[in-house]
Amino acid sequence: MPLAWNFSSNSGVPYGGTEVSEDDRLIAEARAGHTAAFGQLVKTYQNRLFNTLAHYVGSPEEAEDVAQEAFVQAFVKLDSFKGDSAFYTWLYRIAFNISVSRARRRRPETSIDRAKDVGGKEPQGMDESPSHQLERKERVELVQSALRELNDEYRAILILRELEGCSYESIAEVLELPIGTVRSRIHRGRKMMREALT
Amino acid sequence: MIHVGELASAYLDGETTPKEAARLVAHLADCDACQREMADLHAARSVLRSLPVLELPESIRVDLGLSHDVVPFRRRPAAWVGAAAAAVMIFVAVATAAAPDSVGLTLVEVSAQYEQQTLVGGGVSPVVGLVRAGGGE
Repeated sequence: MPLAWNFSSNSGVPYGGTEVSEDDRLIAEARAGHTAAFGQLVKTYQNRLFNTLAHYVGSPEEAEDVAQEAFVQAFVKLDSFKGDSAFYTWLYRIAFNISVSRARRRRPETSIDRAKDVGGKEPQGMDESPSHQLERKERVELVQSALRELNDEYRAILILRELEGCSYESIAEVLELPIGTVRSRIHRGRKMMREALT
Repeated sequence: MIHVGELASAYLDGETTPKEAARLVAHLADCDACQREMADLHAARSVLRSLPVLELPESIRVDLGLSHDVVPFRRRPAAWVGAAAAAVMIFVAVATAAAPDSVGLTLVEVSAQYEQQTLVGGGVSPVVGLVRAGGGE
């Protein structure tokens, strides 16, 4: 299966490509008081953000709440967006910070069982037999469970890399880490995933 | 012999320099352990990439009864953030539908309202004020 969100094929290309300038235009309009422009940004990124957050936090409801809060914060703080990074990078940074903050507050509730909660609307193969569907579902649950067992710092990086297709540089920007740390955590995270699944 | 370690992952991701890549390829030719590690890393990468893309549940949009495209999230009565978000989404949706190019408040004003209400009103949603102001009160 290809990357969940292949930047080169998505209309909201966040790291390079022509769509970044479209974001810039919308941001400028939103800053000028055209709030509908911000709505367009929400429309562009809401599903991608939800997908990433759902895998990261392990719960569609929590992902929904975090995404809501992230869009609100982005809207309110839009004037502080310097444009040094892509809007999407900035939005992700906000969302991940919110996730971490909320996770700290409710840490005792966190359980690997929540991995089974990850849902949302998952595309189904039209011609897949029930047994194959079941097998695929079990396999997905296994991977999600292994992912949930990783420390947050590894899980976030792997999701940004494998599901979002972010470059190391982009991940470093989103998570505000040195690029060397990103490199080593991706490597260690993959090794941990491999160990968990064998 | 010094094994490739994290260079292997970086190589899979196309994040090595040409010099690093050349060193890794040369090492792999003679090192079974690193070849196995490379295969394991590739497998871990593939399995993560096979995870399904999750879309916002349709029921969330339907529950809102608002713009399908712009307002994806449902209201969460217990969380002020949810209410705030819903409010801002509603505002955005209304602004999108009714007056795409003429909204009375600038983001500077919104930010000012937010800061003021945060200071004065404690847990009051910042965007409730936005909706009221935008609604012509």
